[in-house]
Amino acid sequence: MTEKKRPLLKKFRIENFTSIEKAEVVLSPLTVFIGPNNSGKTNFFRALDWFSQLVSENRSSPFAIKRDNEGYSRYFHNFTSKKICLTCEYEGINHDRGLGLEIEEKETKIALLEEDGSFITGADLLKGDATREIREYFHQLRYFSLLPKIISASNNVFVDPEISFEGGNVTAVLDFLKGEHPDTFDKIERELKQCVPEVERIILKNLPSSCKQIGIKEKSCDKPFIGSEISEGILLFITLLAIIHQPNPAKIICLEEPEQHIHPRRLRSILDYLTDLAYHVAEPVQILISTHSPYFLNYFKDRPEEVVIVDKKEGKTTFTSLLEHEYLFQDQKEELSLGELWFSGLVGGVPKP
Amino acid sequence: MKLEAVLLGEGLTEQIVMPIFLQRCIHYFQKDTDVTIIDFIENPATKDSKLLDLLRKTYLKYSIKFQADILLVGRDNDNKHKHLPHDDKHTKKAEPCCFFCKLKQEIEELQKSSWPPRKIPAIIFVPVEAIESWLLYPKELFPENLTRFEAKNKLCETLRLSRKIVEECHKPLAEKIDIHALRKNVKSFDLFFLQVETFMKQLKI
Repeated sequence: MTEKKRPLLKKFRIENFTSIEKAEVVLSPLTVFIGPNNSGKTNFFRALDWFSQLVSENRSSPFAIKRDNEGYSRYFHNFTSKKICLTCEYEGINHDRGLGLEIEEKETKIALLEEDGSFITGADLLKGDATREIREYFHQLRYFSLLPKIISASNNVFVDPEISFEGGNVTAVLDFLKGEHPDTFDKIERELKQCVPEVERIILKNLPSSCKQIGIKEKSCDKPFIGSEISEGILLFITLLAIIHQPNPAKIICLEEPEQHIHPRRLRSILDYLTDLAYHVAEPVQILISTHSPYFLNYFKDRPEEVVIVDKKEGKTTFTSLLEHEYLFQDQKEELSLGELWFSGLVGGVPKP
Repeated sequence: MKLEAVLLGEGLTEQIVMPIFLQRCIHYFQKDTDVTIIDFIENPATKDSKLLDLLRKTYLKYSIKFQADILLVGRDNDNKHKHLPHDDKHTKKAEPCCFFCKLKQEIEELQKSSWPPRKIPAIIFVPVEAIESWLLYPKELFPENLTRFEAKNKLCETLRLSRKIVEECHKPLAEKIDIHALRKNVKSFDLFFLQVETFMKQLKI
């Protein structure tokens, strides 16, 4: 009997999506994207996020989809072609097939790759059984670009909340966990205290009209710190832990710059949590991260297949695997860390002079 | 003729000044040869061994995966043993103690080795004590006697360099300086010039 493969997006192909004219990106259970500002890392996440919404929500008009009031129509045909093509290859889901979307202004064509390599197309593909598993899978893609200001704001508490794109609803999620899944809440608190030993506990302060606001109590201080009084790094740390331990975890998490506001020495803890989530749990989650931190990248020296280098050449985004620079690691007299190699420009992914 | 060079240097000042020096020295021998810097590898390391590692990896990149006509590599000779062309006594092949000899030995090893297959000519620049000493003549007659802080201060009256300062202060000096006089008075520059001369002779062959 063959072992069941873990669900995994293996490749994502993008054509004519903002700065990406044509690209194929090979994905690992944990993939880290490095590159200068404005190279196209976020565009990759947006394309995947859009694809997931189109597939899982079966929208008749792709351009009606919005993420935080930001329309997607502006991503349409920056290049000469008048259609965007997004294709995903996966395994462990839907008999290891692939799914492709061709998106034009008035019509979306859907194609499903069969096991024998042929394609079937049809307008109703996203409604039928043939794509049910993959639709459900993509329904659980979550994309985060966390902002401490949003995390620290007060929340209405409600049942089954979810953390939003910028980190909204963290207090509501923690409150829900504390009430319905106290073990998970304790785990988050314990892991926070492990990384930030001065923290005694997480506080969810009651405010008028069923609102609550996040706070922390420190061992050395009687007065708790509430909302924006909390260190931004700790707010992000709590949010990352809440994302990781949500009762209904995502299947794919796209995370922009998790190193923001976090001390370089604590990045190891973040990576450890993400690595566990991607590889060492019963139901692993695929993690895609962008980073600007050479310290964070240092941990990937022995995992080059997990690093994608993003650059922009003549206005077009390119993606290269660090594996293509493997010859650099054949040199036995190694002194430089991977972060230093990246900073030097040897592997690309640096701003142009 | 067009030549493509890769520059491995410490930072912004080298990035702006060294292409000018290289171009001007090449023009000294051949007016119609232009050089373009196709890649700048920035040296983030403070340890000598890390610079040598970066040199090896840059060499491998342009020997195995890409192509370049010249590898231009260097760093400031600050607070360390100096190598001047008229004084080779400190140079021990087994254990070089100055930046110039360390870089030279590493390049020679790479060029002698059967792997990687394609050899890249390299030119080393190790200004004593900083690149500013190549720009201070004739304002300062013996600029290599200054510490790097003194040299930077004398050149632009600040240690807090920015792109604007380097563009306005260093760049015009590099474009106009008398190469012939600089060779006579600044030995670390002469050492750089002599390597360009050797390179250009080999290019003609």
